[in-house]
Amino acid sequence: MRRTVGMMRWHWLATILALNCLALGCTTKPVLYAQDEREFETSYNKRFLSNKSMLGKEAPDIGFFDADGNPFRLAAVRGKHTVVVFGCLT
Amino acid sequence: MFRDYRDQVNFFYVYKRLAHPETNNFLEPANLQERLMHLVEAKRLTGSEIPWLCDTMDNAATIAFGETYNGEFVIDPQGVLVRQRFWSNPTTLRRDLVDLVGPVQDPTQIADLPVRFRPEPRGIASGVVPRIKLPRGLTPVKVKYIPHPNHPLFVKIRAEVTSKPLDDGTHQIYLGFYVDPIHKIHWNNAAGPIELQLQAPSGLQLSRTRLEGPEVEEPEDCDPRMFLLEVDRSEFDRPIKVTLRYVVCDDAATFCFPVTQEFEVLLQPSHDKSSRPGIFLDGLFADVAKRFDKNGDAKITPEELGAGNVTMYMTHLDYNLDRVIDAEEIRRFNEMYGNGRGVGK
Repeated sequence: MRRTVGMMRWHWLATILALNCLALGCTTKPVLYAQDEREFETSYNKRFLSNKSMLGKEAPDIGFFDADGNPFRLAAVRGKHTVVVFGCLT
Repeated sequence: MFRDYRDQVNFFYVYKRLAHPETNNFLEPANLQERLMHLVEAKRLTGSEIPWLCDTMDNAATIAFGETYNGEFVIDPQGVLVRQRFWSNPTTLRRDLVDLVGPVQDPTQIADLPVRFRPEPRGIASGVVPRIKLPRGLTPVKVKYIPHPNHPLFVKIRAEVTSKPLDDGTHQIYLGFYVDPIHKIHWNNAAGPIELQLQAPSGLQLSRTRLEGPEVEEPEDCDPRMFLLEVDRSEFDRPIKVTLRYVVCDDAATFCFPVTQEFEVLLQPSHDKSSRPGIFLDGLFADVAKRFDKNGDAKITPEELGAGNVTMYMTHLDYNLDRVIDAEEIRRFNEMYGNGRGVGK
């Protein structure tokens, strides 16, 4: 019973957060805005890390295209730390 | 961070599928060429100096990296993921890089960076064609673009169907047609309304098979053409063939010509993880002032928003960056994202 109530609370919070996210959109602005760190280190990341953690594993070797449309793989730039940020126009 | 660490660290933005098609009028690209055009536009709008990569049209990278909206990952020199977060956070990323690579002298501040993301107006009429009020419970379904040998896919389609039947057992299907701003074109209304022909596969009934877009007084505009009709099933294994006839002109006034564009709509959930923003606005932002304007002065301050809401609301509503959200900014937000969809009513 306690577990069920806990799950319901979690789902409620996740729903509100998801609706806020969907309504407000995702933009390619990660380095352009000051952000409140607390927001980002809470629910989303905890959930993300617990459900889909890839930490400590080899990064997916996926094919991309560069801005000119040429094939590109992240494995080609090994040897330095690499930061990858996902974004879109909306 | 890129400026501070570019010699020691590789930085890449990955351009992914749209999270919210229609926001700022951007539409989901139909092919890699269009997604690359989006990438170039994003780079231009953000003024970003960082190298950009483009996800493939099957969204392989987005899926492989955990289906984030704005995910951020740090990979060590051996190719092992050492940091991951669902939402990019420059403060935390900087701390990560200090830990992993070392501190820098005089780190770049946000105030040192160029303009923030803000699409400029196109100068083509919009908001002149009334939008229909869409029913709740619409699910996006699969669409396929039939390539045309002589021109780009100027018009994009959005198809959604209600999973819950009406009293008579039918379902509602929404077909929206949008001129794609990435091609910098618009409808030519002087040539008459758009024409739509639907061919249902045997075994599937549509309430109408021939439709015409609205007559529009403005000679040109870029509003969506929206149609709502009934279908006797919410799922089916063979596609509806859609033929759209319209006249298109480019914004630079160098060409106008008639186009016949074909699509296929398959009544199966698309699972594209995207949403039209208007769906969720109703009820969430309509009463934004009522919810937060505690002293009733028609202005919402960070204190009234509360710590948990400040970043998200200020980022999207505070258009003039004065750290106060006023009625005009809320009106503008609703106009941009929720025009005609019940927002603010």
